Amino acid sequence: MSLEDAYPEDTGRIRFITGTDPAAGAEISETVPTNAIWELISMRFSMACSADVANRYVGISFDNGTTSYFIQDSNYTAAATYTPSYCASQVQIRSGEAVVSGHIPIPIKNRLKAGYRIRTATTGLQAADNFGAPSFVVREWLVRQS
Amino acid sequence: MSLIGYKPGEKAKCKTCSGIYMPIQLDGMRYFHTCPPIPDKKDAQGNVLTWKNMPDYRDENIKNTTLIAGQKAQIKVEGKGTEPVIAAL
Repeated sequence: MSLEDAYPEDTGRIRFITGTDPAAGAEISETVPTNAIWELISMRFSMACSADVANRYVGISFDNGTTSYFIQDSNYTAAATYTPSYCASQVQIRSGEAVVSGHIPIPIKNRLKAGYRIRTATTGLQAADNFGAPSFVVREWLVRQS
Repeated sequence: MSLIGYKPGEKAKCKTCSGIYMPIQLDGMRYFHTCPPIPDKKDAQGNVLTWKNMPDYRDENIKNTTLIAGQKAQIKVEGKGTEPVIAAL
């Protein structure tokens, strides 16, 4: 069944997923499982910034396993010792100044095939910065391979 | 360690990337861990290296998209395996 076959007749299933809590200095990275198609509805995570003085610019990236085709930065610049939380969603109604939190808009009705990745892409990430486990809400279709 | 022994909500630690995750989510669904990119490591051409370049990369997605009768599903790459995370008392 192709991606087009799976939508729109099949409305999929909503899932809440807790992803991998990466080691310090590593980005969040989630891979769409084999035989699945995801629509990322929303994603929430935090990042504990180390004491290293630097500005961190956190964004979300979609890629096909190798090549990024979507990158969007948040509206919040994270400084040393702060622990901002970030929310990525298809609907963003608030922008501008944020208080220790960042908002990241993602494409509406995005479709991520098996092997595609949802990643953070952070400029200025320090070795001791530590992302927490991300929480996802996805719409999932399971695809039978022929 | 086999992932089969985990109960919903119990956490595992990937011995390759040190990432911590729930192999069986709270709703009972399976979670497929893959190691994230390695930060700040590039090859001579400036390309960002990932665990996929490394021998210990772990990818728990199933190897075959079509199951073969009589055979168990195998994960793509074992890496260094996992160990259970013991919750602090």
